[in-house]
Amino acid sequence: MALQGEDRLERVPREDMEGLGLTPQELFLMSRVDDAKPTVDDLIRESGLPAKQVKDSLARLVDLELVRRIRVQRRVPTGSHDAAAASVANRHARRLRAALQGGRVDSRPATRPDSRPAEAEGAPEPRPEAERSGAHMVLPEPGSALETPMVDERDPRLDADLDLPMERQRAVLGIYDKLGTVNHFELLGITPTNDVGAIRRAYHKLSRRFHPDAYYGKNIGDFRVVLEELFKAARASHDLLISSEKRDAYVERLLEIERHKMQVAEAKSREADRRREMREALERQRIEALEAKRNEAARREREERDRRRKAKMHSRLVGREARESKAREHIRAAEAELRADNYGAAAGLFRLAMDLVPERADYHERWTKTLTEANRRRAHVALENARGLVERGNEVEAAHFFEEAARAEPTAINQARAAAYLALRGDGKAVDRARGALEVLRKGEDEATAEELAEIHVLCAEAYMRLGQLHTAKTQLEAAKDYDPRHPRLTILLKKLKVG
Amino acid sequence: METVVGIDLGTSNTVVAIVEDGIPTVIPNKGGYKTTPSMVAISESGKRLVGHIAKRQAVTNASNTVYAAKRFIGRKFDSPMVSSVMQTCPYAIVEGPHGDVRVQLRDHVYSVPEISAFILQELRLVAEQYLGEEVEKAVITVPAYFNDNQRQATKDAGRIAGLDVIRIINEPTAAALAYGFGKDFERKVVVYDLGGGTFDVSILDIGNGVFEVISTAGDTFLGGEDFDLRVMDWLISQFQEKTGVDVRDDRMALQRLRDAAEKARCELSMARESLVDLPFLYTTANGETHHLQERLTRDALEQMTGDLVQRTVDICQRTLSDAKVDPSDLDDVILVGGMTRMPLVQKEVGEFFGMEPCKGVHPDEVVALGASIQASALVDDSQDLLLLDVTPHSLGIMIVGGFFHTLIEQNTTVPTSASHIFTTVRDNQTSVKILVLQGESEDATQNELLGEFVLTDLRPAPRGQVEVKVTFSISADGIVSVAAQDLETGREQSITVTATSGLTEDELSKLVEESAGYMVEVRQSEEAERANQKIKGLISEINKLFPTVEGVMSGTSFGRDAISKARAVVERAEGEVDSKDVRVLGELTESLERTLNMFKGVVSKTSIE
Repeated sequence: MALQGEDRLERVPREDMEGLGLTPQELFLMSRVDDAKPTVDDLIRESGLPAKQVKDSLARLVDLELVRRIRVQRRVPTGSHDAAAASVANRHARRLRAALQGGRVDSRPATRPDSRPAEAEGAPEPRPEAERSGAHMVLPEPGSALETPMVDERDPRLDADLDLPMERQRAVLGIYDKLGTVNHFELLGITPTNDVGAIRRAYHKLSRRFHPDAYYGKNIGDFRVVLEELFKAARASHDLLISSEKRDAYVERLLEIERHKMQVAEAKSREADRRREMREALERQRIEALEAKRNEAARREREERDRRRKAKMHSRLVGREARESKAREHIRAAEAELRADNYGAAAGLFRLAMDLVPERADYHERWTKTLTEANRRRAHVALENARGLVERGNEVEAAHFFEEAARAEPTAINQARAAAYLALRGDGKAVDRARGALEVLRKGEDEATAEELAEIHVLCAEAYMRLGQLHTAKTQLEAAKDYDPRHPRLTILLKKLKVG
Repeated sequence: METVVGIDLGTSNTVVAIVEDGIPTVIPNKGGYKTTPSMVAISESGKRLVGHIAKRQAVTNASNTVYAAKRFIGRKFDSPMVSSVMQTCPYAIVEGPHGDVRVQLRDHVYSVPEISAFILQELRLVAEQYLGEEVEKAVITVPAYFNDNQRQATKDAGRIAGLDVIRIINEPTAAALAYGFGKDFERKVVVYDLGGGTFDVSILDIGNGVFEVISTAGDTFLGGEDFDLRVMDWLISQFQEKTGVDVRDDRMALQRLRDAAEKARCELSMARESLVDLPFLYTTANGETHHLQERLTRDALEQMTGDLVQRTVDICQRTLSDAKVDPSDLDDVILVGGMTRMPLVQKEVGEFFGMEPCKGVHPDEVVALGASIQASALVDDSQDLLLLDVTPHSLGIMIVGGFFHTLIEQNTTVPTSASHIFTTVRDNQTSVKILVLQGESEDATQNELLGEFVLTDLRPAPRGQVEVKVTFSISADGIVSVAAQDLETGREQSITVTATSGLTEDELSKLVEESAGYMVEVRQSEEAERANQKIKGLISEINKLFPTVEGVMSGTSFGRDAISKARAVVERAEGEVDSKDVRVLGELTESLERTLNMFKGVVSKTSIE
């Protein structure tokens, strides 16, 4: 189970850490897993280490049970409004069910196997994200008070002249307006409960507020009718909920309604997902079609230009005399570039001269020599850059330059380095580079010392390890050991391999 | 804040209470007693006697002394209960013009609400004297099992007594209010109320300032009176066995037997044995006199009344099962009513509920206290308590076939209402008659008829096309009212209510007027009484000083003149002290005070010299 960026980590207190062969990097990362319970992303950002390394190290720490993760769920699965509605509906039903089981919702285990199958379509009781977020959903105590709804201060029915405080008037109308849309628990102002005492208390509280006796001899205008109706409604809710059989049946019905609402919301959410996927696919297809058209046009244009250029050149350089004179011009320009140390440009000009007069072998020789030198120089610059980045710790960026060096000068060592660094960022090209390096070695084209050969094998081994090809890595390490058993990184890598 | 008293209008005794500074207090009557016998008598001189005075003269004036009038209130003359009581009743019961019960005392016929009003009036005066202000509003209690007619009649009684009855509440509920007042607990309690004439049992949930009745039941014709009747019957049969004389036709003897039976029954709550000694109980036509002397033991009493107690326990059993309450759910049993002093009652109730009954409440006073608490809760904003009571009987109408169709179930929390839609059964029918009843029987005739309601002036239309929605409401008092509306036109439909018992509105307002006059009369006489006492006091003070003053002043002609004037004042006062004219009494008081001041001045000068 791979670590995810948003996974939160916490330390497992342990005494016996010696003998685990932790690397300084691993120890460092472990020290950063503090009480703040950072996420994997936090650690990558804070440490400045390559993400892959951090993740690997952390994964090892998790495997060694020095660190454990607290899985945090994404809030809303698809981000769509309907899905949110579905999750709300589900939470509602779940809360109802949980509350009526007479207690808080149990906290679910902190982690959950990732291998859990995805939501099956049309499963009898789908449990989307909201279900899992139950782990962090704190439910109110069953039978606890709900907030009293209030009407707006400017409601025209409010009357300051009555013997009924404004706040009370607003609260009374607030509940009155909700009659018929709230369930019996909500009317009594409590969360669902099986606690008969809580139901009675809630009813008594409302009675003291709604019963006509509470306003004996008071001028409360039309509120008398409203209060009478509210008292009757509260009474009816109480009578229903106080009987366990009626309450159970009613709760079943409520659950049925909630389930239905949830299904509707979910169906909507699935439909929305499907539509979005469809839209995205169409969008992609349109872009692809456009690109294809553009590419086709560009290709045709290129071919046309080429054809015209060749025709033009051909018509222009019909005679050998003319070609030779043009070639000499190019050679002169190339020599001028060489003097300016522009080997790349010079190689290009030699190439042009060679193309004009293919029978001149010296042109060919000069072209290859200059090209080799240009590549050597390019590789040199790239390696300089790469080393500079490595020194600054930016190994991921460095991979780019190592790769350039390998491209410019595909020696075994250059390719091996490129392989090791590309592997750091999980780049699949790393395998090609490692193979390339080994191919060069196999051909024996390079002259290299035993230490250099060992280094090449170690680099290849590192590349394979980073890509998870542990077996190949092991072979490489063994080859390196043959050349130079005292290679500085060899022992650590062997140990790591063993643990892995 | 206005003063509203709470009155427990009981079968045997009536109690008035008030919440003073947040504390419910029973108001003692003129004699210092907290309870006043619910008795009314008319003396030979035509004077109305209420309470203790009426009770004291009952033996000598049995046929003109009404007791236990509550047993008849709101009842029809032809009901079996009334005829059963008539047999042993020393006063004359006659049928009223509306099939109601009336009482004849000397040459006047009184309705039962009037008799109750006399008692209420007496208690109103007691309260006014205690508070020093007029009392115009009251909360009156009735047995929980009272039906609408009985409640309405009680309310009428209050009105005749000049009281605005702001609420009728149930006695057991009132008792629970007094029990739970000012206490912050959540409890489920049962109130067992066995009074002089009625039995009630109510189950209540108390908590959060709410007193909620869950269920109530009872028997409005089961109480101390029935126990006394058993003892009386036993005494009569013993007497007949020994002397061969049946005393049932001798009203005076019956009254003596009744008193003796009550006394013996009360004594046996404390003692194991009681002696009933009635010398010269009966004198035969040939001058032979017979005495009654019987020994009654507690065991014998319990044997002859055990079935009555068992009846109450059966009702408790039914109430609990109706309310789906187990005795173990209950936190307390509250005993209310004088009859609960009887050891057998306490034992049976304790055994049935499986707990020792609560001893914290005074069985005679608790109901009135509760009524005063409800009164104060209604008018005092700072009292945050609420009573949720229920209707004791199902309310319904008679439908085709004489069946009873329930609209509001018993034990429904009041206020409540229910609607029923009536249609015409004939073309162009202009009126619909609806019989409204209360009770639990499927057979409408077995239930209590509350009234006939006639929907009149229906618009002419083919049958079934006129739909009238009739709404039956039960107020927080437990009193029923009816309103009707034509569903199609939305027009309020007029309803004529035909009284089936009790008093008509005309009779009622006439009585209210009469009694208002009586109240003024009584007030004046009381004022005169006070003035009379004061004048007598002044005269005796002046007479004490006379010798001293005479000795000092008789030397001068001015002094002699003054003395003769003073003597004239005192003589006039002595002559007119019994006048009922408050104005005259006021004048007398004034002149006597002047004379006394003068005398005091003379005496003080003399003592300095």
